[in-house]
Amino acid sequence: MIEINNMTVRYGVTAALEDVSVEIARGESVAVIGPNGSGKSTFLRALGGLVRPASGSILLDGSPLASRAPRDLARLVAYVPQDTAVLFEFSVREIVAMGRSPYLSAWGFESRDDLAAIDDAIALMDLGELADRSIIEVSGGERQRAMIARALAQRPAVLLLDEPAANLDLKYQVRLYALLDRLTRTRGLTTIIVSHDLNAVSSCDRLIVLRDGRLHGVGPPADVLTETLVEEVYGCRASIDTHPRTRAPRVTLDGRLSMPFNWEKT
Amino acid sequence: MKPLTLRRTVITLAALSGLLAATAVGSALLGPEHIGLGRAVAILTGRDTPLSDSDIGRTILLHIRLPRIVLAALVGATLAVTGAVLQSILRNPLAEPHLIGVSAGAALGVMIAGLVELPGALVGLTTTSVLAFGGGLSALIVLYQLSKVQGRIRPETLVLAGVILNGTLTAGIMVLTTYLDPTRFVGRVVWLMGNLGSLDLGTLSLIGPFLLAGMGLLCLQGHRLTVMTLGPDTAQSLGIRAEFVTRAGLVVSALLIAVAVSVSGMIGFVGIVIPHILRRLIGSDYRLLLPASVLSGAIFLIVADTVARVALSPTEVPVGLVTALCGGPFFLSLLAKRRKMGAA
Repeated sequence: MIEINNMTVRYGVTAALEDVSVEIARGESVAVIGPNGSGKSTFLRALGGLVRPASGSILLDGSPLASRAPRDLARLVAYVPQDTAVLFEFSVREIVAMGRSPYLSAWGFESRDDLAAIDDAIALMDLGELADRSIIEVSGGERQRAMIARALAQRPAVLLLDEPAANLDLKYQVRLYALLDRLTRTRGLTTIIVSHDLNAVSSCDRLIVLRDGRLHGVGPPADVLTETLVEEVYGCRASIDTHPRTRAPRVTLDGRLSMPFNWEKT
Repeated sequence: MKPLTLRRTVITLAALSGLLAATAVGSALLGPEHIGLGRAVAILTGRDTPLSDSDIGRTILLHIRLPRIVLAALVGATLAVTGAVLQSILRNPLAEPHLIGVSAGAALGVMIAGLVELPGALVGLTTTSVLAFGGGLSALIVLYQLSKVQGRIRPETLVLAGVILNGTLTAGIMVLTTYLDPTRFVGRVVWLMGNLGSLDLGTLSLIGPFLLAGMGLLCLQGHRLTVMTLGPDTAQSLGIRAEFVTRAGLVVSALLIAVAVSVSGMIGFVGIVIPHILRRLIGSDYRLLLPASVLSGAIFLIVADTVARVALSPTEVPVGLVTALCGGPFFLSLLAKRRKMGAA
């Protein structure tokens, strides 16, 4: 469904991503991992059409992403950025309703379909009781849920999430990943998640590992998530075993022993 | 705020239109020369029997008060709606029309017109207005070039460029004031503080359609500008051509502001106070906020100008002082509230 060929993205002269090629199938759940500044967010922004690759191409359903009008692209791909600050007094429901933007006419009002999609998204993210509250007053986690609901209201085929669980409490972290799993299975949604939480993403279908803007590895978590990889990519030590119930790889940082012996000198 | 529906939009706009009509009528009757409602209607419908004293009333109503009310409505509407637009594309709830330097450019044009002797009128407009518009336009071009970073206009750079340009041009105005002789200086400064009384019908019929068309264009961007408040990236991911909406919104707003300032001076606070009050009352959805700003800005400035005319009659207060005296305390209470919210 998504085919990325030799993509290079530059901000000015610095390359944020270099020569990245990867394919993502419909209905696949993929996580992008890597240290700060490795190009994860840029990877998502490129897939969302927010930055144009300097070279290489991104094909979506066989045709170049760049050739689609923003409106058409927004009906296929939804993106939730890491920074979700809202400066104006909108209700949670109004924020979710903005997800219908690519379906509205210029001065149009929401149709029945739009309202149904909004209600659906509000229910999926369990925002019913918060719907009339101001987005400025709700907590960071609640705001993040509203932003994810907004993306779901777009009824996208591809959902791009940048650190979606960063502000969520344990219950909603679990709930979010369970929900994404369900949407993947029932609606064929493709999800691409950027996260630092290796245990949360270890149940994804595949991991894309980025380091210094280059593709370091791709594959199922069981193959990719190794102690060597964590040390190579993140520069710290971890023990990896199998979770007794989920059978997914379980990453435990080695606490104070995590740092390499001479890290203070580097 | 409950989600916006077509029904609520229509009801709100109808109510505001009614209020605008009532305000305009009230303002037309008020003033040193009292005109009764019955006589005003008779004059307007042409059923007025021309008596010697009613001729004065007739002239005052048709040639002084009505053009002034129409101008106040147009300028108030322009300032309020461009304020709302700029708040969205600059992604800053405290943005206002005079922030981006275009007004200062226009004001500089006014000061230059006061220094050099020029023919009284060009293409039906006073030289002052033409120079003011030219100044505003030049400021816009500079602003546009300054705020492009890697070919894109970002809200942060735009605000910064606007504030810097505004500061520089204001300094320019201060420099020029030292060259004006004191009598003319006072006149210019008073004009800059806002003046709605000096316009003839010809100019009004020239700028009126321009301002109305511009405001119409902006009002059609309601849902785009709603989404733009979330920032250009999020807007883009929701299918909005963020860069285009930013540029077009900026250029159209700046042109309208330049015209408004060139015929009425720098009337402050309308562009920030009206959108803020409206956000509290009707919500932040731009599909309603924009047309409601047009109507409310018109109402507000008609009232302010009526106060300016009547309060110290026969002397007139610059209308900009009236709006500042209303807007200043409002702005302070807003800041106080924000500080409280920040502290909590």
